[in-house]
Amino acid sequence: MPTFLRLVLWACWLLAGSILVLVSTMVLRRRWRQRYFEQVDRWREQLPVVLPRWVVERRVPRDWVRDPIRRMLLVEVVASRFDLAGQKCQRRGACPVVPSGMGVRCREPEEMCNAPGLFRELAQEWGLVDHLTAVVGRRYGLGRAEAMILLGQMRHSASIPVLAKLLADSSADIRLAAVRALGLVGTPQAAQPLLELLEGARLRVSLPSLQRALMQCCQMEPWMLATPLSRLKGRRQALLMRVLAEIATAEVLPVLAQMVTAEQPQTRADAARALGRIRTAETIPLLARLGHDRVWFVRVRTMRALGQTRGWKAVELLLDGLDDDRPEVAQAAAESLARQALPLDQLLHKARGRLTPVGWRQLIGELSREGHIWMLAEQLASPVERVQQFGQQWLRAVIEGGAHKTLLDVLAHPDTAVADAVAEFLGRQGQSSWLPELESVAAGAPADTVLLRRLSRVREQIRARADSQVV
Amino acid sequence: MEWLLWLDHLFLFYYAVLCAIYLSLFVLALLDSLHHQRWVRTLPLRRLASSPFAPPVAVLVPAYNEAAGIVQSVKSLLVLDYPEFEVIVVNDGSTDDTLARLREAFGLVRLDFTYRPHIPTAAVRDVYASPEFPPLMVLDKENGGKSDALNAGLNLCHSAYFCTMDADGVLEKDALMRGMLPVFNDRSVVATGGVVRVANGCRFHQGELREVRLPSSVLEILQVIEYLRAFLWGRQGWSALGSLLIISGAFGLFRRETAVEVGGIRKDTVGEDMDLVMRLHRHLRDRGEPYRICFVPDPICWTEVPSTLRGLRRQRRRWQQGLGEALWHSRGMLLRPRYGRLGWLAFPYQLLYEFFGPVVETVGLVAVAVSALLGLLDRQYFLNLFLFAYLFGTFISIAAVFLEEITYHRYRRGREVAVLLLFTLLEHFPYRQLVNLFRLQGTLDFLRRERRWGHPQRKGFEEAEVKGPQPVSSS
Repeated sequence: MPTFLRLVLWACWLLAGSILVLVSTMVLRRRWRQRYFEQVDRWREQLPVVLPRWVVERRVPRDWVRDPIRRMLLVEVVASRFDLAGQKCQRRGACPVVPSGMGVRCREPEEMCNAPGLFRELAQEWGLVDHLTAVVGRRYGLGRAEAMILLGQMRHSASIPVLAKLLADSSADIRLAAVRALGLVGTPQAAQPLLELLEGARLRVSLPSLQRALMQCCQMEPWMLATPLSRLKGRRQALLMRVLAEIATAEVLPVLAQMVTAEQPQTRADAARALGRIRTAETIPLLARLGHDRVWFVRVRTMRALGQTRGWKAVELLLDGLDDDRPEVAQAAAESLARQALPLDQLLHKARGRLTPVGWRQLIGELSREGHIWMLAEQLASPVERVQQFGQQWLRAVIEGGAHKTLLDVLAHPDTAVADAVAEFLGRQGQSSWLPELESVAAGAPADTVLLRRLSRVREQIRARADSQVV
Repeated sequence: MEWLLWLDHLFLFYYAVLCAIYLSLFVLALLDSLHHQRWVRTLPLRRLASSPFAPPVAVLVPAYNEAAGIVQSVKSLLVLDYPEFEVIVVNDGSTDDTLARLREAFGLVRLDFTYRPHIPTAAVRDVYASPEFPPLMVLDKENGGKSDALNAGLNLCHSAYFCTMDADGVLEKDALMRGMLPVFNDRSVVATGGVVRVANGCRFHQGELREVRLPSSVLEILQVIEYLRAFLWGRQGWSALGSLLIISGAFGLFRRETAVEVGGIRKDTVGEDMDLVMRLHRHLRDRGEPYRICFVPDPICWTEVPSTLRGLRRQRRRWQQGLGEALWHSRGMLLRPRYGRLGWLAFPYQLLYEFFGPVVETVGLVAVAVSALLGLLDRQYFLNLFLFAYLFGTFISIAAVFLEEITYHRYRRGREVAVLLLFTLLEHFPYRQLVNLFRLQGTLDFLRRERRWGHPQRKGFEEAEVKGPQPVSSS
């Protein structure tokens, strides 16, 4: 037992020591952190003042390149210039990135601006690229990933082979950083190693990151994806198709026509998404075919794509979609219809004869969500008789289709004239089957409010009419 | 009296194993946390937030009598940084004006919506949408409890992933982004959880966190330490081992398809969050599918903790009972080789140290004290052990504060860290004993099959002045 006691006592000492170490580390770290950040802040404030001079002289003081913290600050600032150069110029005529007198014109798009080119040269001359490449070449450490991202931000074509090599690194974090960095380089040359990776034996990288990187690299030249897309099969084809769906233009239409019959439903769904992006009349026959696809989520995607495509042919297909067996498809069709800037009377006219009550209610629900039903209700209070009749006609159609529920909300319209007109209309058109529903709405309404009075008026009118019919 | 000595030795062995587990978890959590911090620095979160390849997420907010803070919570959700998300608030038959406040604040309109329950729930009254805020939908239903409300939300949403949270929780602006990071890198991730922190004392403006502060009451500060310990140390350590069994209901992200496959969220339990995670593990292991359930060690959600002993008692009893129910429902996992480390390590730990922990602790303490009083135990031995227990308890709490300090550094004022350190010395008496007692009651509730749903009393969050500090960034 004494040995055990000694052991416990030792453990106590050890614990007390550990506690002391933890607490003093926290205190010292706080002090150090405060000093460190004060110093870094000073350098950070100094940098925007001195950087224009260094840019003009094309020279940077040696201590800024030697000292790791200052060098990192410099790299960060230079890398941020590449981001800035791609953004819209805030000051007309003057470049926010490069000091005046350097003969740099800041114009949109990014490719027209020569600021990134200048900073790329400077990063090379100042030895920053060499330093980052050396860090990337190390064997271990996450510092490599940070350096790779910075290299990517600089969009230096010389870094592409270095980054491409790291796509096969043993560390998942490094492979991921290589994918992201190549995406940041964002040129068709940078897309090549990524496409090779996609066509290779094993995919050991984050797929969304790979897709995003490919999207960044092929944005200006989406046709680059056409050949690998037809070569690939199954899941990988679906992966690449998803990228194309984000950047598709009319020139890839022939590939999309092939993908409409692809084996993987996900590929077909993304083909629909891509067709929606193109928005031309030539896409309608392809979308019509996808609208009858056997897989429901392909049909959902098609309905969304049709919503982006203008024209009555697309509307017809969307109206068909409203009566789809799958609620998700009908919902997507209704959303697409409600968000199209169509003349409401024409849309309702087209829809009334052909929709089932479920499809009709779905459409009215979405129209109401987009505020169209409130607009119709507001027409009831219009001083112009024709406008009033228009409103009445379509609101009657809404009720006849069984979608009266949406109208109850209009009773709380902030304009009393509108709310009263709706109450009057509902009282006239209402059926006794609505009464339980009206009761439940009234139960949920705050006591002693105008809404409650309107609801009771509607109820009384409906009851009175029902009684008179019985008599 | 021989048996009393045996009991002492047994208790000692039990405690030694616990210390070893805690130390291992600390090392794992520390390494994992530092790696994560470094890794996140290489991620262009801003760019990811606009990625079209991010899987859509539905945020499900069950609300029962949450009129005090619901509008603020929903507002904070609508400004989340994520490419595609929907917010589904489920009004679970509130008897206060939760729904009325939502309708007024967001201009909700009733939809003629055909609700199709894939998972059976209590009757749905209405579905509302907001023309002004398209991602927002409100589902009004009969009261059925939190799980039922979540299932209703699950039926309504179409997103590939869903996020569960409490109506009183406030998410960081990039919470979904950070929570979904593991999914971006690995599509086999079926669930992720994040760090939940104590919101009491913090200052908010329009549902957005403005200033992180320590609460003023002793009870709340002690819970801050507890939360730090549980999340930064416990969950992170278990996640590093690939054996995470709990994702807090206050913030959890799950793959919808898999959750529906396992039947959604179980209604007959109060620990529905843990139960869901365990069923996911079981389901996917049984099917032999590769999957991951992981923890994101980033502060993601801020939640209000009980400020009274009564509230704390109710909460801890409920948690303990929920733990018991979840373990009971998934008892088939215990010591089964098919479930690997889950069956051999995580499950037995939860059972022996979390569920039976209060019983063993009480019996052990009584046995040691009685032995010492009867002179069976050497006084020196007793005092040394007592000192060791005190120092070890203090060490794990200080280590949790240390983890917070070197990674997230949310408590910026030195004074606040000093207060936290001071309270790590004081929490051992009588707070620990009280919590142990509440947990013991929870264990008995479970054994007696007594249901305690309870509904926490909310104070609401402290509003910061508009001129206050800028929103707190997660970096």
